[in-house]
Amino acid sequence: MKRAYVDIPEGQMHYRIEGNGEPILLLHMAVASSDEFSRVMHFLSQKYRAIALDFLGAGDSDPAPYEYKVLDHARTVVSFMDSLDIKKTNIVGQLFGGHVAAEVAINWPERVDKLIMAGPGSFVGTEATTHNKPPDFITPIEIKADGSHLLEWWRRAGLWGDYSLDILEERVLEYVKAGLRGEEAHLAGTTYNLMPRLSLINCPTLVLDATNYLFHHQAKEVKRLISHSKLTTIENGPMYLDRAMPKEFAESVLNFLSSSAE
Amino acid sequence: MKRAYTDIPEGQMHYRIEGHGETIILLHMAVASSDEYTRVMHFLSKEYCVIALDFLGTGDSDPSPHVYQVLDHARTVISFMDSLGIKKANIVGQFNGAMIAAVVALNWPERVDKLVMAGTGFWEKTEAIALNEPTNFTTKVEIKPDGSHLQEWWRRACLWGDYPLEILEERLLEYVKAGPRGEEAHWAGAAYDLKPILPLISCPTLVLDATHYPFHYLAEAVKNLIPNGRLTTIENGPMYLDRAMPKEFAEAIISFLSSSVI
Repeated sequence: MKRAYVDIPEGQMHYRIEGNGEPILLLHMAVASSDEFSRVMHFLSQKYRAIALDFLGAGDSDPAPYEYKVLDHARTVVSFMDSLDIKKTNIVGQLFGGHVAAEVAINWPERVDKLIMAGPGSFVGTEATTHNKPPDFITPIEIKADGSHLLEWWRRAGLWGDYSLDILEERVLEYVKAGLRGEEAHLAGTTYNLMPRLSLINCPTLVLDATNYLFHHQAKEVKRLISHSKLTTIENGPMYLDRAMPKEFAESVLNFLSSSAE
Repeated sequence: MKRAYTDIPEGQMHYRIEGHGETIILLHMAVASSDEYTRVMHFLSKEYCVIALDFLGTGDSDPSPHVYQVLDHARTVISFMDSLGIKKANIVGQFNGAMIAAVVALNWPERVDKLVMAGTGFWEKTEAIALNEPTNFTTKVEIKPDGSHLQEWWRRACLWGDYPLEILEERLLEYVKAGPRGEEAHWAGAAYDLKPILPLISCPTLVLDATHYPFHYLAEAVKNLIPNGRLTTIENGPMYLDRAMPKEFAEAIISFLSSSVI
């Protein structure tokens, strides 16, 4: 695997790349980075050219010039493809990355072969937003002179299941890299109204679900609303599915891509 | 400023580059990264092509294949120059970076125009112990389930003077990036016997000193041991001189580089 930078109008985007063949573009969750797909890329790259980018404001990409919404990030994905001269690609997005992937498929259908949305779902219309109270993992963080903000990032990294320490440390590095503006991605994700957008997706789509994904209960509904879709559910798959079960994650993607369209 | 990667035999090295003209290569201190020179590069790049690299195991470069000593890192600087097609450069190093710069100048004199050693000193064995005992900033930090290792890294970042929170957060990010192997760089520096090689450095050399550098008391001695040495001392300059007083740091370098050879 190689790491590299490419220029888009807003600045530099950082990405990881491995393998040869048809491209698969991997889009990470909020306050994360291309690093989350490192293990998955190992499996995908045996048959495909796997490319994982860092959204602006995350990982090692430049910050966004202002607070970006899902559609803004989708535009940067197209800029990224332009700058690497990728005309059309398969796109995989996990959680927030799935929202961005969906908007790329809806607005630039000629650029997307097949779509994989891992863990899709929406807070809009649920308690979290009707009470106008964001859940306590997305409130802004300030740097404190006693370093206590680091423990808060560590707490947030550890909220979503039991993981090995090296996975938690990878997550905390992503929090520190994204810094004070990191939660802008969560805010963009939690205020994004996914459900009405799903019927606009026309490409073959896999809803990749895991029983311990936050939005597991919405997976069937998401699948129903997308016309050419399949659903795969990974038993006991945790929130950081790509990091904790990379082989299963990659196999689901590979099976779907090699199957004929419905 | 742009960020980029280049290949050396051990893997990818990450660097920052800005400006045009004669080349200046900037070498960072232990458990830090090219990021420490971001502000300095702004000033130097008006007249020079300025390049700051991340040593293997720090910042965004690949890890070193084993525990690297000062000479190993010096070799990677030459590999880095080879891969970018740089035949000869001015080299600036701070602390550990200054030792590595000195070793490059000693072993590959044909590759170095002028040398700037910022904050250089040499650990006398007893001093190293005496200095290290009360503050303990070089023992290995292990990742702990309660996240307390982050607080320990924060403590180490805060040991060296009063800085804005922004600078401390930059330092902390460098600690997290370097991870549990980060302190190998401090051990390499502490194990290196700099004193005997200083009389062997033949190129024009600036000893860039600051009154709050830990080795301030040795600056005059270091300067006297280097045949073509000059000394500039910045009053009230703190340990993170390049981050806290970038203009003064850059001006000292520029006036040395533009002066005629001693």
